[in-house]
Amino acid sequence: MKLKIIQATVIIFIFNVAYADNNREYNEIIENLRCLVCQNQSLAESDSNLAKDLRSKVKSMLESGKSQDNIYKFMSDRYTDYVLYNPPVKKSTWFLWFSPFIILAASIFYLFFIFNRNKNKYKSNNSQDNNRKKNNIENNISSVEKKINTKYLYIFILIFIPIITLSIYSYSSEYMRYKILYYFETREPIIDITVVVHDDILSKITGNEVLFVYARRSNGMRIPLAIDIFDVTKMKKNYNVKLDNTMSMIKDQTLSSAKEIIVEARISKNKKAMTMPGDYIGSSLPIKIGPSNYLLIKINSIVTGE
Amino acid sequence: MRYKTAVIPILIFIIIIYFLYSGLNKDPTLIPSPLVGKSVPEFSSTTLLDNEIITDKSLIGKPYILNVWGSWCYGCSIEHEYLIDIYNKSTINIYGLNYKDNRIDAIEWLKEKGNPYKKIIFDNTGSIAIDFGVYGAPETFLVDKNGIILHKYVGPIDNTYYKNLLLPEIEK
Repeated sequence: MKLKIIQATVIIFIFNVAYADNNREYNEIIENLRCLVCQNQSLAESDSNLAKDLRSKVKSMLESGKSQDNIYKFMSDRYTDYVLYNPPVKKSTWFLWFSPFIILAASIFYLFFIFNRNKNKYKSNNSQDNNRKKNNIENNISSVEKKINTKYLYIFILIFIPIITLSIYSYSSEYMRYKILYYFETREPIIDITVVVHDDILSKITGNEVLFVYARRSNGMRIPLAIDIFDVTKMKKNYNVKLDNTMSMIKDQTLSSAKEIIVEARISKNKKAMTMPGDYIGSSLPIKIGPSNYLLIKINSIVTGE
Repeated sequence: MRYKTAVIPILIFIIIIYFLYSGLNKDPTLIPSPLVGKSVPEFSSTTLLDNEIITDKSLIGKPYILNVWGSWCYGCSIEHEYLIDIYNKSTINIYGLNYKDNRIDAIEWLKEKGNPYKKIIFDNTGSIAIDFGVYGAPETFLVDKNGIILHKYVGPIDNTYYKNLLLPEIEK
Protein backbone atom coordinates (compact mmCIF):
# COMPACT_ATOMS: atom_id res chain seq x y z
CA MET A 1 0.00 0.00 0.00
CA LYS A 2 2.69 2.38 1.09
CA LEU A 3 4.67 1.55 -1.98
CA LYS A 4 1.70 2.30 -4.20
CA ILE A 5 1.24 5.73 -2.65
CA ILE A 6 4.89 6.51 -3.18
CA GLN A 7 4.63 5.31 -6.75
CA ALA A 8 1.58 7.47 -7.31
CA THR A 9 3.23 10.60 -5.94
CA VAL A 10 6.31 9.98 -8.02
CA ILE A 11 4.27 9.52 -11.18
CA ILE A 12 2.10 12.59 -10.52
CA PHE A 13 5.20 14.64 -9.88
CA ILE A 14 6.72 13.39 -13.10
CA PHE A 15 3.59 14.21 -15.05
CA ASN A 16 3.66 17.73 -13.70
CA VAL A 17 7.19 18.06 -14.98
CA ALA A 18 5.97 16.84 -18.33
CA TYR A 19 3.21 19.43 -18.28
CA ALA A 20 5.75 22.13 -17.67
CA ASP A 21 7.73 20.70 -20.53
CA ASN A 22 4.84 21.27 -22.87
CA ASN A 23 5.13 24.96 -22.19
CA ARG A 24 8.85 24.87 -22.79
CA GLU A 25 8.84 27.40 -25.58
CA TYR A 26 6.71 29.86 -23.62
CA ASN A 27 8.87 29.48 -20.53
CA GLU A 28 12.02 29.87 -22.53
CA ILE A 29 10.80 33.11 -24.09
CA ILE A 30 9.68 34.76 -20.88
CA GLU A 31 12.93 33.80 -19.20
CA ASN A 32 14.84 35.52 -21.95
CA LEU A 33 12.95 38.79 -21.71
CA ARG A 34 13.74 41.43 -19.13
CA CYS A 35 11.00 42.97 -17.09
CA LEU A 36 11.39 46.71 -17.56
CA VAL A 37 9.94 47.61 -14.20
CA CYS A 38 12.08 45.36 -12.02
CA GLN A 39 15.13 45.26 -14.20
CA ASN A 40 17.01 42.45 -12.56
CA GLN A 41 14.13 40.09 -13.11
CA SER A 42 12.92 38.32 -16.19
CA LEU A 43 9.31 38.37 -17.29
CA ALA A 44 9.00 34.91 -15.79
CA GLU A 45 10.05 36.07 -12.35
CA SER A 46 8.51 39.51 -12.15
CA ASP A 47 5.15 40.14 -10.57
CA SER A 48 4.66 43.65 -11.93
CA ASN A 49 1.60 44.54 -13.95
CA LEU A 50 3.63 45.22 -17.04
CA ALA A 51 5.24 41.78 -16.81
CA LYS A 52 1.81 40.20 -16.53
CA ASP A 53 0.65 42.07 -19.63
CA LEU A 54 3.75 41.15 -21.58
CA ARG A 55 3.50 37.51 -20.52
CA SER A 56 -0.05 37.31 -21.79
CA LYS A 57 1.09 39.05 -24.97
CA VAL A 58 3.78 36.40 -25.47
CA LYS A 59 1.24 33.65 -24.85
CA SER A 60 -1.26 35.06 -27.31
CA MET A 61 1.45 35.58 -29.92
CA LEU A 62 2.58 31.97 -29.52
CA GLU A 63 -0.99 30.75 -29.80
CA SER A 64 -1.48 32.71 -32.99
CA GLY A 65 1.50 30.86 -34.43
CA LYS A 66 4.20 33.52 -34.17
CA SER A 67 7.76 32.24 -34.02
CA GLN A 68 10.18 32.96 -31.20
CA ASP A 69 12.15 35.35 -33.37
CA ASN A 70 8.98 37.23 -34.20
CA ILE A 71 8.24 37.69 -30.53
CA TYR A 72 11.76 38.84 -29.69
CA LYS A 73 11.59 41.32 -32.55
CA PHE A 74 8.20 42.57 -31.39
CA MET A 75 9.64 43.25 -27.95
CA SER A 76 12.88 44.84 -29.08
CA ASP A 77 11.00 47.08 -31.55
CA ARG A 78 9.16 48.56 -28.60
CA TYR A 79 11.62 48.32 -25.73
CA THR A 80 15.01 48.20 -27.52
CA ASP A 81 17.47 45.31 -27.33
CA TYR A 82 17.71 46.05 -23.63
CA VAL A 83 14.64 43.88 -23.16
CA LEU A 84 16.50 40.84 -24.50
CA TYR A 85 18.67 38.90 -22.08
CA ASN A 86 20.47 37.49 -25.10
CA PRO A 87 21.63 40.57 -26.96
CA PRO A 88 21.89 40.08 -30.73
CA VAL A 89 25.30 40.05 -32.36
CA LYS A 90 25.81 43.40 -34.05
CA LYS A 91 28.36 46.17 -34.19
CA SER A 92 27.68 47.68 -30.79
CA THR A 93 27.55 44.32 -29.03
CA TRP A 94 30.52 42.87 -30.86
CA PHE A 95 32.82 43.51 -27.94
CA LEU A 96 30.39 41.97 -25.51
CA TRP A 97 30.11 38.75 -27.49
CA PHE A 98 33.64 38.20 -28.62
CA SER A 99 35.79 39.73 -25.90
CA PRO A 100 35.93 36.47 -23.88
CA PHE A 101 37.33 34.66 -26.92
CA ILE A 102 39.75 37.45 -27.71
CA ILE A 103 41.00 37.52 -24.14
CA LEU A 104 41.31 33.74 -24.20
CA ALA A 105 43.28 33.78 -27.44
CA ALA A 106 45.49 36.59 -26.20
CA SER A 107 46.27 34.77 -22.97
CA ILE A 108 47.12 31.57 -24.82
CA PHE A 109 49.50 33.47 -27.08
CA TYR A 110 51.00 35.13 -24.08
CA LEU A 111 51.56 31.80 -22.36
CA PHE A 112 53.16 30.41 -25.53
CA PHE A 113 55.42 33.39 -25.60
CA ILE A 114 56.51 32.85 -22.00
CA PHE A 115 57.13 29.13 -22.44
CA ASN A 116 59.12 29.67 -25.59
CA ARG A 117 61.22 32.31 -23.95
CA ASN A 118 61.97 30.08 -20.95
CA LYS A 119 62.85 27.23 -23.25
CA ASN A 120 65.28 29.35 -25.22
CA LYS A 121 66.84 30.61 -22.04
CA TYR A 122 67.28 27.08 -20.86
CA LYS A 123 68.81 25.99 -24.14
CA SER A 124 71.34 28.76 -24.12
CA ASN A 125 72.21 28.03 -20.50
CA ASN A 126 72.54 24.43 -21.42
CA SER A 127 74.98 25.01 -24.23
CA GLN A 128 77.14 27.16 -21.98
CA ASP A 129 77.09 24.46 -19.37
CA ASN A 130 78.06 21.91 -21.97
CA ASN A 131 81.03 23.98 -22.90
CA ARG A 132 82.13 24.13 -19.30
CA LYS A 133 81.38 20.61 -18.07
CA LYS A 134 80.78 18.00 -20.72
CA ASN A 135 78.44 15.04 -20.26
CA ASN A 136 76.54 16.47 -17.40
CA ILE A 137 73.91 13.74 -17.05
CA GLU A 138 71.80 15.47 -14.50
CA ASN A 139 71.34 18.43 -16.74
CA ASN A 140 70.29 16.31 -19.68
CA ILE A 141 67.68 14.49 -17.66
CA SER A 142 66.16 17.67 -16.36
CA SER A 143 66.07 19.11 -19.86
CA VAL A 144 64.16 16.06 -21.12
CA GLU A 145 61.82 16.38 -18.18
CA LYS A 146 61.26 20.00 -18.95
CA LYS A 147 60.49 19.25 -22.59
CA ILE A 148 57.86 16.71 -21.65
CA ASN A 149 56.32 19.05 -19.12
CA THR A 150 55.95 21.90 -21.56
CA LYS A 151 54.51 19.52 -24.15
CA TYR A 152 51.75 18.46 -21.78
CA LEU A 153 51.13 22.04 -20.83
CA TYR A 154 50.62 22.95 -24.47
CA ILE A 155 48.15 20.13 -24.90
CA PHE A 156 46.33 21.15 -21.76
CA ILE A 157 46.12 24.76 -22.84
CA LEU A 158 45.08 23.99 -26.37
CA ILE A 159 42.42 21.44 -25.54
CA PHE A 160 41.11 21.81 -22.05
CA ILE A 161 41.03 25.52 -21.44
CA PRO A 162 38.86 26.29 -24.48
CA ILE A 163 36.52 23.44 -23.58
CA ILE A 164 36.22 24.57 -19.99
CA THR A 165 35.72 28.19 -20.99
CA LEU A 166 33.12 27.30 -23.58
CA SER A 167 31.19 25.12 -21.19
CA ILE A 168 31.17 27.78 -18.49
CA TYR A 169 30.17 30.33 -21.08
CA SER A 170 27.29 28.28 -22.39
CA TYR A 171 26.11 26.91 -19.08
CA SER A 172 25.77 30.40 -17.70
CA SER A 173 22.81 30.90 -19.99
CA GLU A 174 19.66 28.82 -19.78
CA TYR A 175 18.96 29.45 -23.42
CA MET A 176 22.36 28.22 -24.62
CA ARG A 177 22.03 25.20 -22.41
CA TYR A 178 18.80 24.22 -24.12
CA LYS A 179 20.36 24.68 -27.51
CA ILE A 180 23.39 22.58 -26.69
CA LEU A 181 21.45 19.82 -24.99
CA TYR A 182 19.04 19.54 -27.89
CA TYR A 183 21.84 19.50 -30.36
CA PHE A 184 23.39 16.44 -28.82
CA GLU A 185 20.22 14.60 -27.94
CA THR A 186 19.22 12.07 -30.54
CA ARG A 187 15.56 11.91 -31.34
CA GLU A 188 15.56 8.45 -32.82
CA PRO A 189 13.79 6.11 -32.48
CA ILE A 190 10.59 7.87 -33.44
CA ILE A 191 7.24 6.22 -32.99
CA ASP A 192 4.55 7.55 -35.28
CA ILE A 193 1.14 7.02 -33.76
CA THR A 194 -2.34 7.66 -35.04
CA VAL A 195 -4.88 7.76 -32.25
CA VAL A 196 -8.49 7.22 -33.25
CA VAL A 197 -11.25 7.96 -30.78
CA HIS A 198 -14.34 5.76 -31.01
CA ASP A 199 -17.52 7.61 -31.96
CA ASP A 200 -19.43 6.58 -28.83
CA ILE A 201 -16.65 7.92 -26.65
CA LEU A 202 -16.33 11.05 -28.74
CA SER A 203 -19.94 11.92 -28.02
CA LYS A 204 -19.35 11.65 -24.26
CA ILE A 205 -16.45 14.10 -24.17
CA THR A 206 -17.22 17.20 -22.11
CA GLY A 207 -14.11 19.22 -22.90
CA ASN A 208 -12.45 18.95 -19.52
CA GLU A 209 -10.39 15.92 -20.38
CA VAL A 210 -6.73 15.39 -21.05
CA LEU A 211 -5.37 12.97 -23.61
CA PHE A 212 -2.21 11.17 -22.61
CA VAL A 213 -0.25 9.28 -25.25
CA TYR A 214 2.70 7.40 -23.84
CA ALA A 215 4.97 4.46 -24.35
CA ARG A 216 5.97 2.16 -21.53
CA ARG A 217 7.94 -1.02 -21.20
CA SER A 218 5.93 -4.13 -22.02
CA ASN A 219 7.05 -5.63 -18.75
CA GLY A 220 8.34 -4.07 -15.60
CA MET A 221 8.17 -0.39 -14.83
CA ARG A 222 4.99 1.43 -15.73
CA ILE A 223 6.71 4.81 -15.86
CA PRO A 224 6.34 6.28 -19.34
CA LEU A 225 9.44 6.31 -21.51
CA ALA A 226 8.01 9.01 -23.71
CA ILE A 227 4.86 10.99 -23.31
CA ASP A 228 2.79 13.62 -25.05
CA ILE A 229 -0.13 15.39 -23.46
CA PHE A 230 -3.03 17.16 -25.14
CA ASP A 231 -5.39 19.43 -23.30
CA VAL A 232 -8.71 18.61 -24.88
CA THR A 233 -11.14 21.44 -25.18
CA LYS A 234 -12.58 20.16 -28.42
CA MET A 235 -11.87 16.51 -29.03
CA LYS A 236 -10.83 15.59 -32.51
CA LYS A 237 -11.46 12.18 -33.96
CA ASN A 238 -7.86 11.60 -34.94
CA TYR A 239 -4.61 12.60 -33.37
CA ASN A 240 -1.20 12.24 -34.93
CA VAL A 241 1.43 11.86 -32.28
CA LYS A 242 5.15 11.39 -32.60
CA LEU A 243 6.97 10.04 -29.59
CA ASP A 244 10.73 10.20 -29.59
CA ASN A 245 13.74 9.89 -27.36
CA THR A 246 13.64 13.50 -26.19
CA MET A 247 10.22 13.10 -24.63
CA SER A 248 11.32 10.99 -21.71
CA MET A 249 10.85 12.14 -18.18
CA ILE A 250 13.63 10.42 -16.30
CA LYS A 251 17.22 10.35 -17.33
CA ASP A 252 18.16 7.07 -19.03
CA GLN A 253 14.52 5.94 -19.14
CA THR A 254 14.14 6.62 -22.83
CA LEU A 255 12.61 4.79 -25.73
CA SER A 256 15.94 3.50 -26.91
CA SER A 257 16.57 1.91 -23.50
CA ALA A 258 13.63 -0.46 -23.92
CA LYS A 259 13.48 -3.50 -26.13
CA GLU A 260 9.77 -3.98 -26.21
CA ILE A 261 7.14 -1.36 -25.54
CA ILE A 262 3.42 -0.87 -25.29
CA VAL A 263 1.90 2.41 -26.41
CA GLU A 264 -1.23 3.56 -24.66
CA ALA A 265 -3.60 6.43 -25.33
CA ARG A 266 -5.83 7.43 -22.47
CA ILE A 267 -8.43 10.12 -22.07
CA SER A 268 -8.41 11.15 -18.43
CA LYS A 269 -11.53 12.74 -17.03
CA ASN A 270 -9.99 14.27 -13.95
CA LYS A 271 -6.62 14.99 -15.55
CA LYS A 272 -4.87 12.53 -13.27
CA ALA A 273 -1.64 10.83 -14.13
CA MET A 274 -2.87 7.57 -12.64
CA THR A 275 -5.32 5.43 -14.54
CA MET A 276 -8.69 5.94 -12.92
CA PRO A 277 -11.98 4.09 -13.34
CA GLY A 278 -14.02 5.87 -15.99
CA ASP A 279 -11.03 6.77 -18.15
CA TYR A 280 -11.18 5.84 -21.80
CA ILE A 281 -8.23 3.82 -22.96
CA GLY A 282 -6.74 2.17 -25.98
CA SER A 283 -3.45 0.34 -26.19
CA SER A 284 -1.20 -1.32 -28.69
CA LEU A 285 0.16 -4.83 -28.59
CA PRO A 286 3.74 -5.13 -27.34
CA ILE A 287 6.01 -4.02 -30.17
CA LYS A 288 9.72 -4.18 -30.74
CA ILE A 289 11.25 -0.83 -31.58
CA GLY A 290 12.72 -0.53 -35.05
CA PRO A 291 14.14 2.49 -36.83
CA SER A 292 10.66 3.57 -37.91
CA ASN A 293 7.46 2.54 -36.20
CA TYR A 294 3.90 3.18 -37.23
CA LEU A 295 1.07 2.40 -34.91
CA LEU A 296 -2.68 2.76 -34.91
CA ILE A 297 -4.37 2.96 -31.54
CA LYS A 298 -8.11 2.93 -31.10
CA ILE A 299 -9.51 4.36 -27.92
CA ASN A 300 -12.47 2.06 -27.48
CA SER A 301 -12.74 0.84 -23.91
CA ILE A 302 -13.53 2.19 -20.50
CA VAL A 303 -11.40 1.48 -17.44
CA THR A 304 -13.51 -0.31 -14.83
CA GLY A 305 -12.25 -0.67 -11.28
CA GLU A 306 -8.68 -1.22 -10.28
CA MET B 1 62.23 45.66 -20.25
CA ARG B 2 60.64 45.55 -16.83
CA TYR B 3 58.94 48.90 -17.29
CA LYS B 4 57.58 47.85 -20.65
CA THR B 5 55.82 44.79 -19.31
CA ALA B 6 54.35 46.82 -16.46
CA VAL B 7 52.54 48.98 -18.99
CA ILE B 8 50.21 46.16 -20.04
CA PRO B 9 48.38 45.53 -16.74
CA ILE B 10 48.17 49.24 -16.09
CA LEU B 11 46.60 49.77 -19.49
CA ILE B 12 44.10 46.99 -18.87
CA PHE B 13 43.33 48.48 -15.48
CA ILE B 14 42.67 51.90 -16.99
CA ILE B 15 40.36 50.44 -19.64
CA ILE B 16 38.34 48.53 -17.05
CA ILE B 17 38.11 51.59 -14.81
CA TYR B 18 36.90 53.65 -17.76
CA PHE B 19 34.06 51.22 -18.49
CA LEU B 20 33.05 50.88 -14.87
CA TYR B 21 33.19 54.61 -14.24
CA SER B 22 31.12 55.48 -17.31
CA GLY B 23 28.58 52.93 -16.13
CA LEU B 24 28.24 54.72 -12.80
CA ASN B 25 26.78 57.84 -14.33
CA LYS B 26 24.12 56.05 -16.34
CA ASP B 27 20.60 55.71 -15.05
CA PRO B 28 19.63 52.11 -15.81
CA THR B 29 15.92 52.87 -15.47
CA LEU B 30 16.03 55.17 -18.49
CA ILE B 31 15.55 53.11 -21.59
CA PRO B 32 15.93 55.03 -24.84
CA SER B 33 12.84 54.61 -26.96
CA PRO B 34 13.39 52.89 -30.30
CA LEU B 35 10.30 54.73 -31.49
CA VAL B 36 11.95 58.16 -31.60
CA GLY B 37 12.11 59.20 -35.25
CA LYS B 38 9.41 56.75 -36.21
CA SER B 39 5.73 57.37 -36.66
CA VAL B 40 3.24 56.79 -33.89
CA PRO B 41 2.16 53.12 -33.80
CA GLU B 42 -1.24 52.31 -35.19
CA PHE B 43 -4.04 52.05 -32.71
CA SER B 44 -7.77 52.26 -32.56
CA SER B 45 -9.72 52.82 -29.40
CA THR B 46 -12.41 54.99 -27.88
CA THR B 47 -12.04 58.27 -26.06
CA LEU B 48 -12.41 58.30 -22.31
CA LEU B 49 -15.01 61.03 -21.97
CA ASP B 50 -17.19 60.88 -25.10
CA ASN B 51 -16.67 57.24 -26.05
CA GLU B 52 -15.90 58.21 -29.66
CA ILE B 53 -13.63 56.22 -31.90
CA ILE B 54 -10.06 57.53 -31.99
CA THR B 55 -7.16 56.27 -34.11
CA ASP B 56 -3.56 57.31 -34.73
CA LYS B 57 -4.72 59.02 -37.94
CA SER B 58 -7.09 61.36 -36.12
CA LEU B 59 -4.19 62.98 -34.24
CA ILE B 60 -2.16 63.91 -37.32
CA GLY B 61 -2.12 67.54 -38.52
CA LYS B 62 -0.62 69.54 -35.67
CA PRO B 63 2.26 68.76 -33.31
CA TYR B 64 1.09 67.37 -30.01
CA ILE B 65 2.06 65.93 -26.67
CA LEU B 66 0.88 62.47 -25.77
CA ASN B 67 0.84 61.93 -22.04
CA VAL B 68 0.44 58.44 -20.59
CA TRP B 69 -1.35 58.52 -17.27
CA GLY B 70 -3.67 56.69 -14.93
CA SER B 71 -5.66 57.66 -11.88
CA TRP B 72 -3.75 55.01 -9.90
CA CYS B 73 -0.39 56.57 -10.72
CA TYR B 74 1.25 58.77 -8.12
CA GLY B 75 3.76 60.37 -10.51
CA CYS B 76 0.88 61.46 -12.72
CA SER B 77 -0.70 63.47 -9.93
CA ILE B 78 2.64 65.21 -9.37
CA GLU B 79 3.13 66.20 -12.99
CA HIS B 80 -0.50 67.16 -13.55
CA GLU B 81 -0.11 70.80 -12.56
CA TYR B 82 2.71 71.19 -15.11
CA LEU B 83 0.50 69.74 -17.83
CA ILE B 84 -2.17 72.27 -16.93
CA ASP B 85 0.53 74.93 -16.99
CA ILE B 86 1.49 73.92 -20.54
CA TYR B 87 -2.19 73.93 -21.49
CA ASN B 88 -2.48 77.54 -20.26
CA LYS B 89 0.80 78.83 -21.70
CA SER B 90 0.95 77.16 -25.07
CA THR B 91 -1.25 76.28 -27.99
CA ILE B 92 0.11 72.80 -28.43
CA ASN B 93 -2.45 70.03 -28.21
CA ILE B 94 -2.17 67.65 -25.31
CA TYR B 95 -3.61 64.19 -25.75
CA GLY B 96 -3.84 61.66 -22.98
CA LEU B 97 -3.45 57.90 -22.99
CA ASN B 98 -5.36 56.54 -20.05
CA TYR B 99 -3.31 53.50 -19.11
CA LYS B 100 -4.74 50.45 -17.30
CA ASP B 101 -7.43 52.39 -15.54
CA ASN B 102 -11.16 52.17 -15.22
CA ARG B 103 -13.43 54.77 -16.69
CA ILE B 104 -15.15 55.90 -13.51
CA ASP B 105 -11.95 56.42 -11.51
CA ALA B 106 -10.30 58.23 -14.41
CA ILE B 107 -13.18 60.65 -14.97
CA GLU B 108 -13.44 61.28 -11.23
CA TRP B 109 -9.68 62.00 -11.09
CA LEU B 110 -9.93 64.52 -13.95
CA LYS B 111 -12.87 66.29 -12.34
CA GLU B 112 -10.83 66.72 -9.21
CA LYS B 113 -7.59 67.88 -10.82
CA GLY B 114 -8.70 69.56 -14.02
CA ASN B 115 -8.51 68.38 -17.62
CA PRO B 116 -5.70 69.68 -19.84
CA TYR B 117 -6.28 66.99 -22.46
CA LYS B 118 -7.95 67.63 -25.78
CA LYS B 119 -8.85 63.99 -26.12
CA ILE B 120 -8.00 60.95 -24.06
CA ILE B 121 -7.40 57.53 -25.53
CA PHE B 122 -8.88 54.87 -23.30
CA ASP B 123 -6.59 51.84 -22.94
CA ASN B 124 -7.69 49.73 -20.01
CA THR B 125 -5.93 46.58 -21.20
CA GLY B 126 -2.60 48.34 -21.74
CA SER B 127 -2.22 46.89 -25.22
CA ILE B 128 -1.84 50.28 -26.93
CA ALA B 129 0.73 51.25 -24.32
CA ILE B 130 2.75 48.13 -25.16
CA ASP B 131 2.88 49.27 -28.79
CA PHE B 132 4.15 52.62 -27.56
CA GLY B 133 6.83 50.88 -25.51
CA VAL B 134 5.44 52.23 -22.27
CA TYR B 135 6.90 50.61 -19.19
CA GLY B 136 5.78 52.92 -16.44
CA ALA B 137 3.41 55.83 -16.23
CA PRO B 138 3.81 58.74 -16.50
CA GLU B 139 5.49 58.93 -19.88
CA THR B 140 5.28 61.84 -22.27
CA PHE B 141 5.77 61.72 -26.02
CA LEU B 142 6.36 64.74 -28.19
CA VAL B 143 5.01 64.20 -31.72
CA ASP B 144 5.34 66.42 -34.76
CA LYS B 145 2.61 67.37 -37.22
CA ASN B 146 3.29 64.34 -39.42
CA GLY B 147 2.89 61.94 -36.55
CA ILE B 148 6.61 61.33 -36.08
CA ILE B 149 7.73 60.85 -32.47
CA LEU B 150 10.38 63.47 -31.63
CA HIS B 151 11.05 62.72 -28.02
CA LYS B 152 10.04 60.51 -25.15
CA TYR B 153 10.19 61.54 -21.53
CA VAL B 154 9.91 58.97 -18.77
CA GLY B 155 8.73 60.08 -15.36
CA PRO B 156 6.82 63.12 -14.14
CA ILE B 157 7.52 66.22 -16.20
CA ASP B 158 8.28 69.58 -14.60
CA ASN B 159 9.07 73.16 -15.62
CA THR B 160 12.24 72.16 -17.43
CA TYR B 161 10.23 70.03 -19.82
CA TYR B 162 8.38 73.10 -21.04
CA LYS B 163 11.43 75.36 -21.09
CA ASN B 164 14.06 73.06 -22.50
CA LEU B 165 12.09 70.73 -24.72
CA LEU B 166 8.77 72.15 -25.69
CA LEU B 167 9.63 75.81 -26.32
CA PRO B 168 12.55 75.13 -28.71
CA GLU B 169 10.38 72.61 -30.54
CA ILE B 170 7.50 75.04 -30.91
CA GLU B 171 9.74 77.89 -32.04
CA LYS B 172 11.23 75.78 -34.82
